[in-house]
Amino acid sequence: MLRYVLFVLLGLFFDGSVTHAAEVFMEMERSGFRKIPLMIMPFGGAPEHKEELTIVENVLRADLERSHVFELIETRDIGISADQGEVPGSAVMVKAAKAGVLVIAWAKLGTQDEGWVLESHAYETAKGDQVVGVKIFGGKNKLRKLAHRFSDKLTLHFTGEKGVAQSRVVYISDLSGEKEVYIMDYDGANKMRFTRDRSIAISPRWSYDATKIVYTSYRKGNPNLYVIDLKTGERKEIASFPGLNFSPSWSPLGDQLAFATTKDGNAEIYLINADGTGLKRLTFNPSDDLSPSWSPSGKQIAFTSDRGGGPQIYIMDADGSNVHRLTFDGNYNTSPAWSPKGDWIAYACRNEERRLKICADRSDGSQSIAITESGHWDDESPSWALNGRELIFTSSRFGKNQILSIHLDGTRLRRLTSNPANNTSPSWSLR
Amino acid sequence: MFKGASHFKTYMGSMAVLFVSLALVGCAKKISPVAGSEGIAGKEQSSASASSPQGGSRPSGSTQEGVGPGMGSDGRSQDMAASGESGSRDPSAPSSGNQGITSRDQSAAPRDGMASLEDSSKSVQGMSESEPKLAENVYFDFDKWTIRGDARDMLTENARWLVANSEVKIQIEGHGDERGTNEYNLALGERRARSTKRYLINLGVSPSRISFISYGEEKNVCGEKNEECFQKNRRAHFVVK
Repeated sequence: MLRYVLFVLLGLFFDGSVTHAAEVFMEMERSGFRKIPLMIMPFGGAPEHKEELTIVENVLRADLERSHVFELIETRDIGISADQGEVPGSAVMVKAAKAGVLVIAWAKLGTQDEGWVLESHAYETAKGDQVVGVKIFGGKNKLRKLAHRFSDKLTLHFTGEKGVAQSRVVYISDLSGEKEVYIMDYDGANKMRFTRDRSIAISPRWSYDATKIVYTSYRKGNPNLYVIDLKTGERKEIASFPGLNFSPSWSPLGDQLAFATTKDGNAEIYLINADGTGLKRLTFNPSDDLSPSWSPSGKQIAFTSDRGGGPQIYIMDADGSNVHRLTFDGNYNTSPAWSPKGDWIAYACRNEERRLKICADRSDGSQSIAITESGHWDDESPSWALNGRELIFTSSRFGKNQILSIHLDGTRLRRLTSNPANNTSPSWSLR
Repeated sequence: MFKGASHFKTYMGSMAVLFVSLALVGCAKKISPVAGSEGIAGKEQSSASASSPQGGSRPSGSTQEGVGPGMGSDGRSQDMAASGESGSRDPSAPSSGNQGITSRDQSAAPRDGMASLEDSSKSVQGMSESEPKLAENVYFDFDKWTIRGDARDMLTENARWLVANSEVKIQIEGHGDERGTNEYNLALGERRARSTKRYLINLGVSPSRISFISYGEEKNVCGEKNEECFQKNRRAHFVVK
């Protein structure tokens, strides 16, 4: 009780401009969206694939739980015996429907040409109709990917939006002793070292179509900008001006990059074509301008500038005109990340305890929220999921820097890395 | 307020202990700027390295001409006091490193570069036969790139050394502690490197002999999460090319 009163009292003194994340979430979901009750029936398949079946089922279950589109209902909780791995029959449909289940997901795992095939189905229990029916093929080591694709099919069918289950995260890790680029699945699985520069790699970023990665490397001494094509494995040096060439951001079309270079004596933002041609300067200011992030429309760019004293987030048109300041709370706001939905800009904000946290402002400046909780650690480098509701970021709350994901409303915190190294600068692919 | 205040107390305490022990030994024979930093960054390292050119001789005020306050305990504690309030000392400081050269009342940085530099280097040679060394690091305040008082002392020594060793080229690496964001710290590190270079140029070192690079917070020398470590990382580091 006392605590409650204290809360209210404190609330009176706080500036009203920073609202609590939970309120915003309620507002965001006010459109009446309710999670879809879904039940996974045990998958069918040959007895010798029992282990693989368990993996696929568990990955799908985790994907659907994370999607917060579906509410998972377990067979045992509604008295459905399900150990056969059979196609759900009409009796099961009726029983499930009575228990409030709207959708039943079921699949059968088989093999074909050295690889796997997952016959994936979803049924609406009300009428017993099959609404999703698709054969998903995958190589020998792609079991998890089969489940991710099934999950994304379900999300697409029931929401009309693309799911994030097949997305990946590119990040920096010093696991090998040097800071190299790594890639992992969105759920933290399949971590893979991507570069062997034996130097320092910084700020890797996916292109919108996830076919290329841009990053800064000191591999030749000077911090230059490189683009790697994932299909061909080819690496191209696109900016090597004396000084820093850093903090790149892909244009939505993938033809251009915005980045910062210090070649003029301080950090300024430039555009450059993805092949390294067509350099064009956007900012002209004796202060540092850096960390650009394109709006999904391609019309605007958010960036960090300390032209007002300390670093703050500004927005300009993609030709450098119409600069205006977005953030005003606190004296240190950096690393903007424009949501792929366009409505929010997340960034690292420093609080009164000099700790970095993840904040977000509406891109029109009408609202500002704190996403990560206060505490004696730093959270930085936010990057959005395709759905515009989840973010990944770096946090030092476990000692070393680790990569976590969180919902925009500050809930559903998940840890994606837990090795003894520093894992930083995540970029979430948009497909 | 910030925990800087409590740090300051510990800082003062450890400084006192350290100074007494130094006094007992006579003087540090050779305290290298990096190795000699018993967890007390910045100020202490700079005073230690400022004393190294004198070899075994006890430092006296006269050798510190043009370098700032003498090596007496008074001078030290003033320096320490300045560093203790790192957060609040500099707000009024100019944001351009150029103006950072304007000497404070007790640190008599040379106004006209070479002339006074030559004077003071003579006096150093007069005092000791041992060869001066290039100090490896100068340190910066949180979120700042202005040259601090203690750094002026070291940079004056370094400029002197560079003038005496005119064939040597150096690179200045700018670094930051882990608390900012990686990208902003890259820019901050470069500002530190640039203001350090500018300071040396104003002391008569040819610009063509000084290159610089920023590593931001990517090459930290100290990994713990405390102010001592943060201070060790907020540095401009000199490398002979």
